[in-house]
Amino acid sequence: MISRFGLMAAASVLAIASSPAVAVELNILVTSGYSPAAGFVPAAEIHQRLYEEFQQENPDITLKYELLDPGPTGLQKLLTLASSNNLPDAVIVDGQWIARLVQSDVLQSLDTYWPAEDRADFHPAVIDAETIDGKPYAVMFQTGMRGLLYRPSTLQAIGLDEFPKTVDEMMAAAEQLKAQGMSAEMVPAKATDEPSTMHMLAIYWGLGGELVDAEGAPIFFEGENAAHLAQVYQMYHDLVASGAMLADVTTMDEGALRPYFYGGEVLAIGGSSSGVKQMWSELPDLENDMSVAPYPMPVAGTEPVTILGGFAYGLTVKDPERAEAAWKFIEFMTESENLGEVCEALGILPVRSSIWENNTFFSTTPIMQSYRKLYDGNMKTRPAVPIYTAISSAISSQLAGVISGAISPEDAVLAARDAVMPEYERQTTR
Amino acid sequence: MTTDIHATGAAPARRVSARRPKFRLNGYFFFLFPGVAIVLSMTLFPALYGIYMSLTNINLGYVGSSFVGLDNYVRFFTSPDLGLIARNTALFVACCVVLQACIGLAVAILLNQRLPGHQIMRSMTILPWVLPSVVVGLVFLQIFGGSRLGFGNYVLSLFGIGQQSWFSDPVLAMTILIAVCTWRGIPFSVIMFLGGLQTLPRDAFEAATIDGASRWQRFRYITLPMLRPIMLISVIMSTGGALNSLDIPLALTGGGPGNATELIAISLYKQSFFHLDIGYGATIGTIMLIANLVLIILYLAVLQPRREN
Repeated sequence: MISRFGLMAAASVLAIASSPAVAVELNILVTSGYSPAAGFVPAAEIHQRLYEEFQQENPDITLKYELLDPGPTGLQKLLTLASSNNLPDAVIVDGQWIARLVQSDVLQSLDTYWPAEDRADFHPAVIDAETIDGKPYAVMFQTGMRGLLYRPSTLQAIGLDEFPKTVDEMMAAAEQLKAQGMSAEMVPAKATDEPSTMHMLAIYWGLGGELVDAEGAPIFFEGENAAHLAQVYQMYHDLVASGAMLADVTTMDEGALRPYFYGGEVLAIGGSSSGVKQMWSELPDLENDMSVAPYPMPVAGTEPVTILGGFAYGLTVKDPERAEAAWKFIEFMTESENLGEVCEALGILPVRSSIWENNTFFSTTPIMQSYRKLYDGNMKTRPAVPIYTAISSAISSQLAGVISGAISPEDAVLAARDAVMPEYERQTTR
Repeated sequence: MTTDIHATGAAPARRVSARRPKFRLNGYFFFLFPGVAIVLSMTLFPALYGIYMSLTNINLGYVGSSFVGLDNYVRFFTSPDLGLIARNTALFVACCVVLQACIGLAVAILLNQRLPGHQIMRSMTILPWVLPSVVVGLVFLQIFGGSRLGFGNYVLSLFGIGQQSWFSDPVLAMTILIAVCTWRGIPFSVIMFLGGLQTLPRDAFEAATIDGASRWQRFRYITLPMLRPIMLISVIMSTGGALNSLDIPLALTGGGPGNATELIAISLYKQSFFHLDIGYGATIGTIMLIANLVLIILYLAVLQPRREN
């Protein structure tokens, strides 16, 4: 009897020992747009296919995903999960959150996982944006770029070979366009709408302005920075006063500008690369007749700085075995060919040089080639500090007053300062 | 002696019980409890929790919060934008309520006449009210779009009038906002007043007509006083609707240009969901709650039918 039980026990031990390793259940939090649950069908399909391929290649890993809000409530959710020790294994985060999440010990360093040769394929500004104290903490996989969208055919119709580079050149073009009942440019200037600030920031940074110092304290109202911001405000005022831009922009977001563009009422509108595919679907002619240009600058010889911003994969688990599995997933999703397919399906801009070179869509489509020029130029991320939201809101809130002439550019800078500093004090004394 | 003491103690007890029936835990209470509990949990609890949050510095961008006393209220009442927001809100609410009541009453009187097609007109009048507010906002945004593709500018162009920048002028933007919100709210007033008009006793009007009262006198001295309770409810509801109105103003102007048409509800929205400053947003919400209550008390004092001795 004893020997029979002994045999059964030995058989059980052998059976357990010879069975395949227990699968790792990988929990990931992803934004819906970059998941199989995406509302945009091509995005859902490509992610579904890639997830399935990953599962096939890694049978020892079971992928389980949940959705994370891409907005600020997503950040709050991650911070709350961290404080209750319930973090997933990997996440998709807004590039803006990286510093904050590293500070809160949510994101783990990728230094030991991410090979240097692979990092070299990314734009240096991207690596810079996700590196803290010399260590990378996330893999940014896309970016949105803002610039002036225009029809090359309209430009040629007024005898211009290339898009105006300075405000003076833009004003000169505006005079010719007026004869055809057109405005020269429209950029969103709606209060508290972040894209309004982002269009301004590209010019402000191009002039050499800074929003915050190394410690994250607001400095946009000090010395040269204040002068540059006033210069940008003045530029908006002059464009409207001369008729090169309509005053309507003070109540408009990027989407509201499109009817003017579609109806041929304006040469160029401020827009994001993420809206290009939608514009093509709304007006198919644009697919062969739309390009993007950097903002004309108020000072000749200066160039705007393109705002870099996008979503990134990050590692949140500390357990080495799970971290290894999570990194496999991140590596798979950000691998050049797979990421190229995602970028093409969604119409989002890649941040890997190899995708720009090897993917047919990005290497041959005319408008993507013009985005490539922006990509190769100066890029910078918005400051990843809590006060940025207040700064952005305060700066854009002054635009209507400046444009209408109710407030001078210099006073607008001071008004923005007065709106930001009490909030900064509240934040620093929490 | 002891008998006296009992006697003196029993007499007042009987007097009290004669005035107010003693509360008894009977079967009705258990039937009422679930409904009352659900209503209170959906109304009273959020209101009280909102008041509690207004005393903290809770912000969705940070983990944790602390009690800050009345700091948020001090911040609100010393805000440089307070004057503008209060003026905008007062103008918006006053215009919407007065216009809704006046136009609503006029339309209700018209619909109360047995004119040809009045049944169809009654059904059509309700249409703006059944449309979702956000849809109303977006539709009017298209109508008043500054582009040539905007319907408003297209109509103007038919009369040779040039393109208008509807929302870039603060006065025009506020006028459009008030007009759209009034248009959306009129059907509610019409339904209320029409219901009230149909319950008015005919004999009073017949007696007044026999006594030689003119049409205006019948309206002034019979219709209006008798509609007072309906008017009270209608005005209370439309005041609450206008004061708390967010969807249409947000979709239509978003408070712009700049913050020229910013209402208190938009301010609450921006603080809570843009700046994630939930504590301060709750403070604005609490102030709106108090403003609503104050206005209701005022209306009750002015419009409630008085009982003559």
